[in-house]
Amino acid sequence: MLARLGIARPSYVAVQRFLHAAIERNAAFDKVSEKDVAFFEQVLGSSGVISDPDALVPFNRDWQKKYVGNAKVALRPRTTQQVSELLRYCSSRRLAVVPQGGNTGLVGGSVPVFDEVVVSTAAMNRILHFDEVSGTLIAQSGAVLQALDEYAGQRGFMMPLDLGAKGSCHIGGNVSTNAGGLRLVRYGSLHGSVLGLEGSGGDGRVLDLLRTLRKDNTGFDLKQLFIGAEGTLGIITAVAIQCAPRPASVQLALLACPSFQAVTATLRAARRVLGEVLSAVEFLDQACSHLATRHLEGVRNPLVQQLQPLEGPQGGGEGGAGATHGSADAQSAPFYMLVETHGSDVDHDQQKMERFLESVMSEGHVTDGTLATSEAQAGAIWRLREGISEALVRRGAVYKYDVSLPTAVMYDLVEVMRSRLAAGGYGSDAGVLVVGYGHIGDGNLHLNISAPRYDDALLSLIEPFVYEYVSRHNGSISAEHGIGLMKAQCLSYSKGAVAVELMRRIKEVVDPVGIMNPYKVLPPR
Amino acid sequence: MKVLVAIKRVIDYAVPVRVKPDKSGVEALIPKMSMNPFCEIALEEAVRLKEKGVAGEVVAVSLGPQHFQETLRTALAMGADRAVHVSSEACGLSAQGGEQPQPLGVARVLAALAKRENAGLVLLGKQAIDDDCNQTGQMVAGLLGWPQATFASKLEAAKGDPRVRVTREVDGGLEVLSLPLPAVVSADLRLNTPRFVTLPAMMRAKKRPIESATLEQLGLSAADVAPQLRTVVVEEPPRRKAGSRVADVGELVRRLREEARVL
Repeated sequence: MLARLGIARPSYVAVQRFLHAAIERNAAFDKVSEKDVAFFEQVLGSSGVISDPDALVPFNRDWQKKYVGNAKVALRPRTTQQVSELLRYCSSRRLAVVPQGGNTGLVGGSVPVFDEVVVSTAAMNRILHFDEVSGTLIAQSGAVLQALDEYAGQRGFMMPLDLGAKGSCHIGGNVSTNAGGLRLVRYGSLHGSVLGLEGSGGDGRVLDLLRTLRKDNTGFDLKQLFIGAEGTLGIITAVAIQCAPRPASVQLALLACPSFQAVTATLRAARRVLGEVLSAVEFLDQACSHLATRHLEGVRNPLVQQLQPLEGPQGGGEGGAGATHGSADAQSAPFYMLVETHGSDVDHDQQKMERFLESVMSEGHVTDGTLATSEAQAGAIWRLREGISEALVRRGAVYKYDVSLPTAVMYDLVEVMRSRLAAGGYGSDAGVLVVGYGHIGDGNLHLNISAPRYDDALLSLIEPFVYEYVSRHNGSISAEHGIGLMKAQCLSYSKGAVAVELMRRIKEVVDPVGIMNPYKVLPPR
Repeated sequence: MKVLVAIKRVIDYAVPVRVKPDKSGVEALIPKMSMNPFCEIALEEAVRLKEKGVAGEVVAVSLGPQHFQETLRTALAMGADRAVHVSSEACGLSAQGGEQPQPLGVARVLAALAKRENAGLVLLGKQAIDDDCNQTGQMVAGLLGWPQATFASKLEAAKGDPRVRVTREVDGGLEVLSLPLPAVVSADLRLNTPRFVTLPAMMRAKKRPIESATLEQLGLSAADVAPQLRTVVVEEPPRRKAGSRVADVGELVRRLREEARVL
């Protein structure tokens, strides 16, 4: 249809073949027929079935435009019952299925590889129940995280997780990928905050574990299997989650550090001095700060003097709107950290924050910094950190790695990769940028290599080197992003053969025909 | 030239609010307060005037309860030379009773201070985001008999120049005024983007004193700042009803005539 309109078909199809050329479509799966579409329309109504090629584009492509599938139909069920019927039917027809939430995943786990049927949770976004005393929230799995947080916020609570994709990601997707995010260091992982869930296995059997009980030791805790299964066992249809009281006091500091040792020293001080009120600790390197401020509208680093005047209606004054005037050092620092506290008492937290800041500044771990004096300023500081992913996508091709490593040596990997790629002819003259940022409070590094275009030779320098490095340090090849399609071949770098075999066996029980999100997570036999 | 900047502390604009059960006002869901965004812009402009050498001293002033002093500290950290706090509690306004100083009272205090300090320019935010009155600046100018330029989106001043040029945002576009000093200017959103405060500046501001001024010292009495307006009731606007689909043009016309009564 695009060709008829004279629009060239986007070139990312070639990208898909390049990235997983080695995978062949499993011939055991059938193809979607007219009869199947008729069945879907009967269950969902015609508005719940999408088969127009143009309308299917966003379902077939991830937000990085790195992974592209070829689904012929996408489905939008509204109820658990509908999901169950669809999966039961697809199992009986041997039609492969890809569950899809907000499609914000970073490892190609939420889009088809071939012609799998996309089952989207977009129409399942109702909030089912909220208990104002206990702060437990029950919602359908397609509810958007930010919407849930706003709902909880109106009632004095907050969702226990927060991530850059919050405006688009679905809670079902968050749970399926055991999303970590910015506040895991304080509110823990979804394995702890999800109280219950309801889902359908690949065979259509509905598993109702939807309870809001904090304590329930009655047999195996099956919900834990679904949390982080990345849609390979079934589809989560509803989630019961423990919200936290919205803190009366939020303090946020942006700090400039002269070295990575200074960053780790600041982290130690934050843990010791801020203690129980610490709610987020993030770090980013100088390259990340440049990236975010350069590629995103209206994003600036408050600690860096802007050298050119801003265009547009904002910034009517001269000399760098929004920058701190009179900072001794107008150049950007090697590292930046965001340190945030959540607490119930503003005075108490401000005193702690002051003691912490005085301590790290007097020790020289922090050379400059700013404390947000309003929500608007806090938002501006978070945009600097949260915008890095998007800035990378705008710059060009991105190779994304999300690893867990011992904190003290975390940044070594970035420097090692930088020299390795430069030695291989992929240095900064080649337009290649190696950057590191992440949840330093959780030992989680986001290593990203940005290049002008995707390049076979560049990839071969990066992989498997990066996985071997991480494996040597007993780290994880995927701290929070999951395995998806991207790392399905690499699971054994972090999990032994016995564990992987057990995962396969469990999948066979819950998804007997094996239709759920094939080619993902588990390595091919 | 001395610049006087009026500062108000308000519920942070990003905090959700709801109408109080007794409908006497609104309450914040989280007790987060910060400098009124327009006051922040006014203060930023004043500090820039000082950095350009046009202003010699920037004095930040607040009329309000005790906790307003925290925002005055932020003002000092942003670059104000001095901060003056006029306690509203001492004026007989009860913080517990939620009695806020009202624009006319504030204007009288600001006018008195402007005279006492011999200010050449009074800069304020165009309005506070809690009451949206947009009156104080205009009243100060009226009380002092000074020229005023409100909704400023650009301020041009030069050292030693007895006049300032102000670009105002008005309904039809932009209006440029030239005013002789001393004058009153109220800041609109696009005047500038306020700076972030550096940690060293914040630490230094902690140690600086905040002056207090009493009504007697300003030649005023409690009657001058007593509230003139009483809020009777605050209600939420009626909720928007969901729309409905019509089957055909005939039904549309019928409903427009019978239900919406616009035909």
